[in-house]
Amino acid sequence: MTMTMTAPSGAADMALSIRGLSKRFGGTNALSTVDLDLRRGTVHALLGHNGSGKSTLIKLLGGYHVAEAGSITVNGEPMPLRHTASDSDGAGIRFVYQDLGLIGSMSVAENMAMGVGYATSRVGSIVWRTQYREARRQLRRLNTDVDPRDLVHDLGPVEQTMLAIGRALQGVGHHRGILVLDEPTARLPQSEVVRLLEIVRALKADGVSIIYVTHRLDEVFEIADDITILQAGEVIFSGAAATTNERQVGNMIAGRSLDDATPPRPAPQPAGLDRASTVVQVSGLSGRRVRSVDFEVQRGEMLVIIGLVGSGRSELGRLIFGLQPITEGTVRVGDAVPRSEIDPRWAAQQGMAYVPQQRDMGLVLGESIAENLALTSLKQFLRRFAVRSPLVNEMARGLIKKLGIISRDERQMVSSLSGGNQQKVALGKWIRNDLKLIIMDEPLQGIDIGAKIDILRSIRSSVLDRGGAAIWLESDIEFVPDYADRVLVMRDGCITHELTHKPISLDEMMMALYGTVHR
Amino acid sequence: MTNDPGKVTTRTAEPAPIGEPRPGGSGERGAAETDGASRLRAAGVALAAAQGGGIPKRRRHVATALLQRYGLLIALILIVVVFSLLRPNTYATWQNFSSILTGDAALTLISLGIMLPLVVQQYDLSIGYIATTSSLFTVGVMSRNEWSIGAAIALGLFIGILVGVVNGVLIAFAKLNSLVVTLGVGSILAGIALIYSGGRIISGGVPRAFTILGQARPAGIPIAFIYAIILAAAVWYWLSFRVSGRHLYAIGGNPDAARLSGIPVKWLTFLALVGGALLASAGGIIQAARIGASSADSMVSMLLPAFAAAFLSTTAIRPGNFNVWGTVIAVYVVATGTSGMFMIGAPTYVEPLFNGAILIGAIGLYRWTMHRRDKAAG
Repeated sequence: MTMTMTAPSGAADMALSIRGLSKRFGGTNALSTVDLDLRRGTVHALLGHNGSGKSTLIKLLGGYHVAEAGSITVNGEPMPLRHTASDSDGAGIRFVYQDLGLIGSMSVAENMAMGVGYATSRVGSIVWRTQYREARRQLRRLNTDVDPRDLVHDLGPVEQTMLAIGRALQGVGHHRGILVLDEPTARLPQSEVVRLLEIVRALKADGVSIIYVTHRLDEVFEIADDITILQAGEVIFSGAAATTNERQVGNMIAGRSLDDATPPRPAPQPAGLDRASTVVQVSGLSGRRVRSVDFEVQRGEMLVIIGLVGSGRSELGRLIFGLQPITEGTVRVGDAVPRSEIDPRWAAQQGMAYVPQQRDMGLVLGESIAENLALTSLKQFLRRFAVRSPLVNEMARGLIKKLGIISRDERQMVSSLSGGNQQKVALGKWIRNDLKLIIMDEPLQGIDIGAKIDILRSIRSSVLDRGGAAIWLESDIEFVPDYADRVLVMRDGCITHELTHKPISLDEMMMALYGTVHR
Repeated sequence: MTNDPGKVTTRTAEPAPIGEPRPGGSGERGAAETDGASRLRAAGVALAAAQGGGIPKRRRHVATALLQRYGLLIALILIVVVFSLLRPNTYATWQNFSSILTGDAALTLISLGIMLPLVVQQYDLSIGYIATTSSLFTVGVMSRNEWSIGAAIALGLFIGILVGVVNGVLIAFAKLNSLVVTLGVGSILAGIALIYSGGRIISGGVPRAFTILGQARPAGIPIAFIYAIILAAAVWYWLSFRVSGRHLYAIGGNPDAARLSGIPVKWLTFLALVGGALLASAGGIIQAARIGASSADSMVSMLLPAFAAAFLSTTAIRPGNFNVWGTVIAVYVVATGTSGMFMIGAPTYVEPLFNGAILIGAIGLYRWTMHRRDKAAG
């Protein structure tokens, strides 16, 4: 066990200084000699692929793992490598993880108390008045006037994140607080990201030093002062955000040129597609948050429906796949009779597919890749009264190769895959020859850029090029121009714009999303 | 009862160099060849080797996986060996084994009846009452009303299906909590059984042919055991080779994902509950045929060991999943253990203590298996 004893120069104005931190898991180097300096009162973006070592670094800081070598200095004081979670808490390092760790059915004040305990009287009974006052005071520091009596599941996603941050920072002076935010925007719709970034800026102005883990590069350049990029456990870039740009950073994370990322343009579609090629026609469809929507999808078409949170975008997808009741209107699949009563089983039998926004809703995490890929198609492997596992495995191996799922073999458990590879499985279970329409709700959320491109390409090659169609519901427009054939914009439950001429520009989409509606 | 500890212990003392596969057989294979008395120790060595030692990682992984998969079977063999050595004249007799096989055929079916709903994450606490009610009415209509054997058995099975349908409708379609529903249904069945039996044992007037169905021994093998194995094989076939059976595991793993994949979640949950109840009533009828009598509390106490067996199954054969053969083996681990303890003179109160400890141990092992699995998953 070696320790770097030399203190870094200028350590005094560093909130956190990491030198030569290394960690092995079994035979693999999860982290090798990583250096990182977090300047006081700044935002330091920590970037990298899924599996690049970001999580390991965070867990080492939090005391969940023990590093083999290196040193950690917090506010000028060395922290032992073998520290516990309460040690790092005491040193002022606080964590807000992606899932926030809040209890939805309890009040804001009770959630706040989960960190530091309740305000109690001498005999140990909870003094609610003090409790509420204290919670309100803590939240004021974040400029929010959420009522401490509100139940957490009644709060919006940003308020919930704010609450989690407020809870994490209890009992630490902002000037010496170190906040680790692990993908705080991954579960937020695009429109809400702006609000979260404001909060991060306010915290920074208040003197909090922040490590910010994210996959969204646009955010990085909005708020980060410094950037560190990890790849396979090593730092491949470290420096001020001002010295680089989004494209360079994207290239470094992906480990390949972004030019390579532009898809092969699909063959231009014949103008004026005939009626017979309509895969699904939606007429006057209404339901919760969706009002009288009409559109149709053609064979081989990638139809992107963009809309902010609350626009009815997700609900539209759920209506078509039968996950929520249709109050009016119909969905026609192929030449079948238009229907207004749909359930997922019927939809799947008609050749429709649905990839939900929450990845874990589409997967049986405790089962193997092969079992998951066979969820929708097990019947095909029935030969003479028995499902033949070798056939299932053969199919799985084919899809693993085709979709680029990085795994040991087809029997590996899905829970052990990275987010991007899980998403590929969630998608892969629907890939088959007679697939007519795949509906994807924010399929790129929280996965790395390489996986995003893999997924979009797979949709093209395995669905669209084989005569299927795709409806891609999205709030983040970054990848839309390169992959969409047509874009519909949704606001307030209605379709307000249709963008068909290519190239579809980001500006145009932004205008349609945020601009004034002309009716 | 002497053994040679040196022979075994030296195996752990020589760690293989890391990264190099051990030449020839691994430690545990060698250990398995030692004489019977040191097998317990040998298993300990295998465990130690699996947990650490100097065996290369991959091999260690394979060894742990094998040990986990067949650990329960090894435990069963160990129990039989140990008690056979302790009581060679009474325990290690075909008579004793066949009485264990017969006596626990009903428990096997009830355990499978509990396991089936557990696969889809539902609890059936009424299972012991279903078995009791079926056995009681099957015996009752023959004894009191002179029904034919076929009709009586059909009635018993019908009762199982009926209760399963009630449970299934309330749990799968009305979405009521299965623990509470089956607790209530069980209590109602207990009441009905008391009314029907008047609190007395029903016996006499049962056709001889009926008891032969439960007591025959074709080729020396107890027929009750044969029924149990045939039904177990049927359940195994359903769960492993039928689309609907395999979908049960998907439902248990993630009902949302199952529904979104177009799997009929409600319908299959319903079927699992009905299937479980049917197995339990079959168990009840087999027990009735074996004894030729029944009473209102005859099989209620089987709930606990049945739960233990179902949970123990998740630690074997298909670790992390409820499975048929794991359940069957677990039933006989419990049965051989209990029988052995009586033979070495343990008092009767040992059985509930033993059953309770096994149940808690089983869910402990279940958690541990899941934890290991999640940890292995990263």
